[in-house]
Amino acid sequence: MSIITKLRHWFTPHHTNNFRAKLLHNSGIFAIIGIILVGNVFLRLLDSTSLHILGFTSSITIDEVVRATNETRAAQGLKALSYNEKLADAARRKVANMFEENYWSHYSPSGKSPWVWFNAAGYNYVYAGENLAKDFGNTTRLMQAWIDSPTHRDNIVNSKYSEIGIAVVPGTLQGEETVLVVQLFGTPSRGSIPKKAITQATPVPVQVPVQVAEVKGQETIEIISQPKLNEFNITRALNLGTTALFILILIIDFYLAESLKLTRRVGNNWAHILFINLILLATVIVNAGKIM
Amino acid sequence: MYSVLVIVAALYLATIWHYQTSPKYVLFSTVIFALVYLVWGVIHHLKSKSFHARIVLEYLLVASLGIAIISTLLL
Repeated sequence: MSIITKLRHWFTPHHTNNFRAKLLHNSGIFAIIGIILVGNVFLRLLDSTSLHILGFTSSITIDEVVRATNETRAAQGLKALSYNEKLADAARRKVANMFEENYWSHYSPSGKSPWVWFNAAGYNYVYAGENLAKDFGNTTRLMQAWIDSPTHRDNIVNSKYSEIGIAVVPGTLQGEETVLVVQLFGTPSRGSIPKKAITQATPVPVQVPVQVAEVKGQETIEIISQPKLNEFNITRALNLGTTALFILILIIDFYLAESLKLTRRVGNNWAHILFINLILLATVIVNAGKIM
Repeated sequence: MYSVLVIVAALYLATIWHYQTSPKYVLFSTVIFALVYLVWGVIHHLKSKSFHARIVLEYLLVASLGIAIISTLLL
């Protein structure tokens, strides 16, 4: 059997496959499901090996988050937040504690509140807030998730805040590589003005970012880690390819069956195309990131 | 009959869009959508008098394919 004959057998209706592309036979669909599942298991095994070539990558940067936050505020007619190094220090302390105590929450297992880190960084506030995120691949998706969440959005467009501090740090949390994003808001107290109010911080999970900002003295140094293969994005690419191929075969099968006026006892191709297209769209839309 | 499937598909898309950052809801919605799709397929072929166990299996496998694609992405 030549290659062309084999391709025709697998991808188009022909007398060798009872006039239905072999990949659309029940055995063919079953094989595709098996390939997806086995491929996914293989990826996870690859990730768990000592080679550890898979990891979480993200293009989130501090500058982008600050800019996107201020653009959201500007759209509401609010003043831009100024970046405060003490707030950023508090955010980094929070991230370090989350990795150290291995938790994903506003409050640490040992009972530390978000406000502990403001005080530790020497930031005296009258108003303060916190948004958390992890597992986001880029700033756009991260900001969209925060904006879609009323409590997080309230922090972003709160007129009482005047300053912002952000930490974007990759690490291993609860056994999984990720990137944590901590966004702190504050309004500094002037002189001896006591703390009047505290706005509940809203932590959000975000995908592991590649860029980390560290501050040494007055300098902000951006460290860009080595790019890694990303299990989520690899899986997404493979699944997108599979669904696209499946849809293409369905369309070819439908077209040829109509052209040849074939009468077959098979499922409805258009229904299959609609269903798999929706799955394809969901694959594109779905976000690995989480917010809290 | 097709309009029912299109409406369900639109509802699924809206749900996914709304809960795109909640893997639990996305997966749950996908399973529901797949089940509705399977039932739709059965009813469609019963009405068109083309019902056959092999066709039910085909819808079951396509629905499973959809669930497999989403679950491997999220779990």
